[in-house]
Amino acid sequence: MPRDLKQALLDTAATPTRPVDARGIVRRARRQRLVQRILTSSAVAFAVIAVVAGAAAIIVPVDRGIVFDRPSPPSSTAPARWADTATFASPTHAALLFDTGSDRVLAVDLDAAEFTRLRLEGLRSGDAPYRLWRTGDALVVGWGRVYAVPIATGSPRLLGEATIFVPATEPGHVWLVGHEGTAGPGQQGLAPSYRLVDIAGETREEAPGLPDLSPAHGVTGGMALESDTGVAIWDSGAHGVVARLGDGVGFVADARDRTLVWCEGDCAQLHVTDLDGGSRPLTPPVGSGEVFGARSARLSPDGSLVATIVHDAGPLDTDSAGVVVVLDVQTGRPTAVTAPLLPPPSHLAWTQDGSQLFFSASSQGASETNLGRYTPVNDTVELAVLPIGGALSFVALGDGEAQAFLEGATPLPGASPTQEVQETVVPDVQWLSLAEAHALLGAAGLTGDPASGPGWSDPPEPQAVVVSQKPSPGTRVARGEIVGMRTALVSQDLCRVFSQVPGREGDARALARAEGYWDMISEARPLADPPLAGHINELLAHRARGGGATDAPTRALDSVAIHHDACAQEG
Amino acid sequence: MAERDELLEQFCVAAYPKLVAALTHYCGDVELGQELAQEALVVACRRWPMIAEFEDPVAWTYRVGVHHANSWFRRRRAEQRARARVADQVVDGDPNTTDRMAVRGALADLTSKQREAVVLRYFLDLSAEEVARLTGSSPGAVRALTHRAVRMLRDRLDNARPEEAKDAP
Repeated sequence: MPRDLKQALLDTAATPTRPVDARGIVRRARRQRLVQRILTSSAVAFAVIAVVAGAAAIIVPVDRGIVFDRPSPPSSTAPARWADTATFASPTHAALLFDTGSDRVLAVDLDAAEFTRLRLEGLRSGDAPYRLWRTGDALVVGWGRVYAVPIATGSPRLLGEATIFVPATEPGHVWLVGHEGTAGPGQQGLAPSYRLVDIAGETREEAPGLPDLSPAHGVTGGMALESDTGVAIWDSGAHGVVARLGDGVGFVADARDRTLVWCEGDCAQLHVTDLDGGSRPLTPPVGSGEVFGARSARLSPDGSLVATIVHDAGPLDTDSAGVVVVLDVQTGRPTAVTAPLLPPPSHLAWTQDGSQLFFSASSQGASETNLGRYTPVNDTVELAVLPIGGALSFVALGDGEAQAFLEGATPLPGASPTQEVQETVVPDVQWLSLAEAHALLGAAGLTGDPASGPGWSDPPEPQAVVVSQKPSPGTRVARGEIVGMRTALVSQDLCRVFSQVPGREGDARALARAEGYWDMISEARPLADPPLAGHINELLAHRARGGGATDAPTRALDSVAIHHDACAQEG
Repeated sequence: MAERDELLEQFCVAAYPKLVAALTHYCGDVELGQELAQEALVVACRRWPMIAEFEDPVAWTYRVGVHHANSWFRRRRAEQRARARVADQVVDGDPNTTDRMAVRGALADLTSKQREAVVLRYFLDLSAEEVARLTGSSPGAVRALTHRAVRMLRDRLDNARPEEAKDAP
């Protein structure tokens, strides 16, 4: 079909009805460059004034301040529950370690209702298929330079240089995948090389010049590779691809020993395949029109159950509800099905003993994280809302295993729940109240809910810079709303000034990973005056090196101002 | 300066037809596609020192055009009207309209992300890795997105074919 489609697109391609005015285009570009230079100078001058004013506001407390509402706890519990009682009715004896998309992890002790964010050496932003994975008694993190972090001590160990790592099924081992001559994961180049290493960094197996498909997951004695035409099984003994599964676009979810969980195409069926034996196709048990989440499935530690996420069969980029389903691998029958959950769950993890399954929804840019627990022994499903945002995939740690992360760690600024929700005085620059911002957005032809409305992440051609909000006295604003508002403001075709305040990483990260923000940055003009220039110039340099949005360096974005005059001139 | 201007003009002349075709596939309107292509080329010329380093400056310029299209749709609140217009009208100088309208109608039923990915991948001939890099996504997500989009297009185009064509061997 792609060939047919390409032909159809070529056959029906429109031809211009009028010629291009190339000379006029070049003249317009030259004029716009000149205007930009002039505006950059005035924007920088304004920004310097704004920062001075901001500093004054920090020294002299002002009555204007944003009060961050504490996010609502689960409706069935009292507001103080997060601090005073456990997350679920019965103890979990577990802690969850969430990837946050940056160099930090979010460690959550569910029974003590405590959390901390801390830096994990080796972990860094990037579009690698795996960012945080457990093998044996260690966590494996990073790309470019891959590290093992023993859970008992939290001290990292460099395993080696590799483009990405891919899980191995052998306990305490990991595959390092190198694409010599390429700059990062997913980039084309020479045929990759694979290296199986243990968490001490010893190489157990090495194979250069392998099929240039997408390494997805190790299987005992080899590797499962995703391709546009199914899943290929590469065998380290035979030094080649020995089997192919399916013929549509292949997705590998999980593997244990020689058992592979995979699907193809729209994932209407999930396959649990014993590479030495038979294959069992599993179908969604909920009803017609559902599909499995492409890489969501996770086998239980004993391999008897497979947990997965089932979605409506709508377009992939819509926020349809998701259902967590646990299926018996032998019979294909469901042993547990949750109600439809929105936002849809996106990550699953079993505890090491298989006694509990946790599932969560991504909460980047949000102020809370939806979390669920399934306990097979008594067949219960519980749901909770953690008053913490910024969580992505996670691993479950057992009783006592989280101590290295939760006790000896030094929390980062803004990491504790108290700091997260306390009153924040924002430097006095040229603030907009939320009402004013809404009005401004309306005047610009942008209406609807800035926090969730469609199209907000698709900005017009941006000019630079950023901003924040002016608190009216006593205004109480939910944190998520502020992030949404900022995203909306960033999306406007306004002239913006960029600044930063340390310790507000969460907001910056949410913005940095929003497509609109990145597009804006990619179009931003370089600024000359540090520290205002620092982040934009850093991002421009990152972009010039061929970097993308997902591995862009992030900074905090708390103080920003709209420069109305410059924008008016620009318009 | 004159030498650079000449280079930019050559780029504009060479890229324009392909951009018009790609952006018309995206927005469904050849007149709008031409306007978007010209606006995107202005940005490309302004950013030339940066995009000259890119492997495929046309693809980057196409993305700029897509952003302009999205802004246009938002400002005018007329995406639906534009699609309806495309479905109802025969555009002068836009021959072979039956097939074109079928393809554009099918493309219009995709989400904007799917449409963008399909045009990048199958019209501008980029690999999934290149599309991912350009759109800030991952190759896997691009493959999933385009796979779903292609299936929807196939269903839609098959349904749009005349009955006799379906029966033909």
